Amino acid sequence: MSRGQSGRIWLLIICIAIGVAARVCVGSFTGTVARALADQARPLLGADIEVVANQPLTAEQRAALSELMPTGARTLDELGLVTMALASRSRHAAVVEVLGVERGYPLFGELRVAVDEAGRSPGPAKALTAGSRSVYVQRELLARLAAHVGDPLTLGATQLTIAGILVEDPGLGANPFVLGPRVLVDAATLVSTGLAGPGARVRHLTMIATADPLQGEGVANALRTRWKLPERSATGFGGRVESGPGIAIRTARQSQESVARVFDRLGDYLRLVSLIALLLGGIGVASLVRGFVAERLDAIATLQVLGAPLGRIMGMLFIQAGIIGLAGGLLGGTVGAGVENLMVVLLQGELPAADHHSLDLGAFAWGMILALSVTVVFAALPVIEISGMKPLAVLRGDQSPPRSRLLALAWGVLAIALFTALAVAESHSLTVGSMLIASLVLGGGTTWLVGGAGLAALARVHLPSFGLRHGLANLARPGFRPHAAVVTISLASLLFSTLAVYQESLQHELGEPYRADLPSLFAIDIQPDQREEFKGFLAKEFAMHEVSMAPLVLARFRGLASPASAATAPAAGHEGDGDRASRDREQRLSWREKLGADERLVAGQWMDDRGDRVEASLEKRYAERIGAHLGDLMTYDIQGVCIEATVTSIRAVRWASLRPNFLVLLSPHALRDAPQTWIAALPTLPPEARTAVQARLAERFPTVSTFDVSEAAARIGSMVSRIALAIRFIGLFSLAAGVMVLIGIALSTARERRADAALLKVLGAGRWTLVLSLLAEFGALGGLAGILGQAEAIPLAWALTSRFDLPLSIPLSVLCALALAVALVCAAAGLVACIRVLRVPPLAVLRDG
Amino acid sequence: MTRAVLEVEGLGKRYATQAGELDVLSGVSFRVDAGESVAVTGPSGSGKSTLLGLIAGLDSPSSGRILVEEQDLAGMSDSALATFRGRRMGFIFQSFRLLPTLSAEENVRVPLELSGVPDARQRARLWLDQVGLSGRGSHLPSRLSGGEQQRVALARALAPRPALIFADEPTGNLDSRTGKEMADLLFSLVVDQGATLILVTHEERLAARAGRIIVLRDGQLVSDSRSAAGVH
Ligand SMILES: Nc1ncnc2c1ncn2[C@@H]1O[C@H](COP(=O)(O)OP(=O)(O)O)[C@@H](O)[C@H]1O
Ligand SMILES: [Mg+2]
Repeated sequence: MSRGQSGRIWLLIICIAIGVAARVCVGSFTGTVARALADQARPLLGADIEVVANQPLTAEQRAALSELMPTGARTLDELGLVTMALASRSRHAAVVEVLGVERGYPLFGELRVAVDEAGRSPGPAKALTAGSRSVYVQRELLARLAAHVGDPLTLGATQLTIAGILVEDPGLGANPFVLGPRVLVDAATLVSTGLAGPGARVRHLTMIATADPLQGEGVANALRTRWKLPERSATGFGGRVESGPGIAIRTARQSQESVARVFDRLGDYLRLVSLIALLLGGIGVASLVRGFVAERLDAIATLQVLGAPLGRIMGMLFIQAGIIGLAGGLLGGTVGAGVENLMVVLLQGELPAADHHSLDLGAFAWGMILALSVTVVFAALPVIEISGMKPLAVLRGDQSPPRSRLLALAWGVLAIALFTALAVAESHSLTVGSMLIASLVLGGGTTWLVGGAGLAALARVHLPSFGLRHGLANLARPGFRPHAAVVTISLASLLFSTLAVYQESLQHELGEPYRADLPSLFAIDIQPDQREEFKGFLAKEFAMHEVSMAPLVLARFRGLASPASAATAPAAGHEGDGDRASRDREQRLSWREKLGADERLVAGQWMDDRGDRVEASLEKRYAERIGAHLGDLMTYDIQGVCIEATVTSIRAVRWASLRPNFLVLLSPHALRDAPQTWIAALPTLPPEARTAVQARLAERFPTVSTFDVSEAAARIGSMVSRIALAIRFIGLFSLAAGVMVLIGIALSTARERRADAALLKVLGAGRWTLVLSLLAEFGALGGLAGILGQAEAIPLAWALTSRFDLPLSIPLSVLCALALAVALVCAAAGLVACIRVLRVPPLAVLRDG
Repeated sequence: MTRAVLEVEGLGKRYATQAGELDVLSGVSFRVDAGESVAVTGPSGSGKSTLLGLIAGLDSPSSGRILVEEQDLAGMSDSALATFRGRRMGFIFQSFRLLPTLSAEENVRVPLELSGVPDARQRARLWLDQVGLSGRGSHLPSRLSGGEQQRVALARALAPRPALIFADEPTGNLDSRTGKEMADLLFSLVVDQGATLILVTHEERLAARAGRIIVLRDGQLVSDSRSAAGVH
């Protein structure tokens, strides 16, 4: 085997390996991120899975639970109810959420309590035992009841003692209280109060911790299937289940849904990108194999004349392709796993679960399957084409032996079917998968035509310098397939720049500069008459002038009716695939005079508050979920008063801003007089200031609760910027695949190029002329591909950003720079591919051919 | 007295092969005056092409000396050699060797442009006329017959007005009639130009048209004689 040939086999392997590496890397990385997210979500819910039931679980249900429980899972029962708490000393009463827990609470995170009312020197909750008759309460309750640690607290008819305040309670994270502050008590003590007796509105919680955070979702789904539960169940007063069999299942992941969903989609998208990178590599395989076969046509024809059946020769070629595919798969899998490990190392600190990270064997195996199928399919095309070959025609020196068009067509149909199947498998969606392949075929075809016209035009450009002109003329070299190179490079640069645009938007949306004005503290339960005082206090004491406040009105969603379907039956209307369970549930309403900074209208018009009509503005995804459209009538019950509101606008909301935003906004005039509380978002503060502000607010406004969200904001932000790094890696993979294909296509004409270079040297060309010619040829090719790729990136980026609810901004200068960069990269790649050709001694012109 | 355009002294070329050292040429010496036409003949494998390659500076000899227009090729760099070839030498090959991506006219222009001749376009057209291909200038090589391609190659070789024309089996890929037409054109134009022709061929009929015949056998010069045709 000659050096040139072994080089080409390596190139074949690399073409395949790049796509596989991208795929394995994406597979393992999304797995790692998913696990990290799930892990982070655990303490928010206090479990991986929460089973909420209105009745104690039946023996049958318990059996089902233990049957479906994976090994290593732990469970813990809790009892929740809403009741009045009375402070015997002050005679103040307040609504509280009581949670009765068993030994072992909480499953995740740490429970820390303090005797000190300011929360200093917290420690473990020692008094949470059956005989202690003690409770721990949220600090806000002390203020509301004018009570202190050590005071008696009456629940029902039982008198208990306040043993301390809750400083850290993992279960509180998922839902900051709605009905009242939490009272944590030992389960046996709660039972002894009689409040949880038969007929009481109690919720029975079974908290489940699985060994691996990623198991939670699967177990939850199995349970839902077993009990025929919807994914989301409405919970009503006191968190009781208000739909179906009175049982509901929540997972930790659901409590971080918006973030999780973004990463899921990102994973789908990156998987598809790596599939495309693999298909690009496949084009490289096809051109390399075509060159390989073309050079061996003579030998193949001679073998045929000597009696070897063509079928056997083709079989040999297929086996070789298979071996190369496997080698590419192995190499790619190894590199992908390596890169993924590198990314995980870079992400250390961002990914708390990174330590229990291991190679994803599933992703590796899938990568091998992809490698094998793509290599064999793409190698098949040039091999099939020679099946119509007449050996005599070849030996006569016929330059273009007849090729089998029918077989090639059959190949095309089969290949498209196979790739569609792969894309469907990768995207978990028939529509997305087939759309992807359809748009690849369509876009590739268009690029082929436009690129072909562009190449023909470039080849005819008369530049004054001979080297440059010769380079451009070479774009029309017979046997050279610059079309294929233009299509692959433009696709690769399309992926790269789309990823760049997307990453830009993401970064812009959630990255550093934006985070600078994220809120760090939230305050809830501000009474309407406290608003001005609250604002004034912050302005005076802390010079905080930009406190954003929003009203909150609790209502019950009674129904949705479409004027088109006439009937106004509650909880009927157009059901669609909407979430029936969200009917009749508690809904937080709000109002604002004008659209907030984190919102933009995607349909309809912003409400006009001057008339009598009540208008509603819905968040886009929420509207989709409940199946609401412009013009529909929403009915809400606000403490017995019914309000009908017409949907007049749909909004996209940037939830990640962490500022107060709402699914449903109604006309201000409809809500202004309803019972309400206000929430406030305090601007960014340094950590020391945050604690100080929290302490002062607690002193001054004891009934107002504050939450520190700065850590969540920082976590999301830095995670996003690290994820951006991963996106860039994948973008580079696809560009590398494109470059490999370019090199492969360039090398398929190496023989002709050698001959030309030798001749030019004989005719007086210096090395620089030859280099210039190569640079012109591949630079022009790359420039054309780059421009086409950037032009195609605009609609794709638009589709992508709208899917992710990001505003589209087309960075024209970035796209131009990218097109230029693609041209330079191609020029360099072409030069590297052909530099050996330039070393041909001029004497070669007298030899061979 | 006539000026020597080419002087070859004790030329040898040795290749290292798997079977050991192989002397492809050894002890070859001769001198060619301006305006001569010399045929180099000998059986296949006797070293004709190797000799041509060495005197055109396409490869370097293992021993001996080559002077072209009194310049020693051994003292020139690769790029100086390339420039020198482009200006002073023209080449015609058995398999034509046109650049497949350039039109006939552009092919003729290649050596002119490489050596910076200002009116390359007109000169190329003129030479295409001379070889009887006026009107075919815009055609790509793939659309020309073998004979036509070789005429384009002839125009390309002659266009820079070189002192030396090298032709390696110029009729080898042509049928006998086209081959004869080609030879007629070659000799008449070379003579017109007053250029020196080094013609490698194993065809005796063609060799006989040159003024002088050098015969190689196993890498050695075995005969150097003037023919009747050599009197112009
Ligand atoms: N690079 C090389 N290495 C080894 N042997 C060579 C090389 N180039 C040519 N030869 C040998 O030199 C001999 C002369 O070749 P060549 O000059 O092409 O002969 P001719 O043109 O007379 O047919 C041949 O036997 C050939 O095999
Ligand atoms: Mg020869």
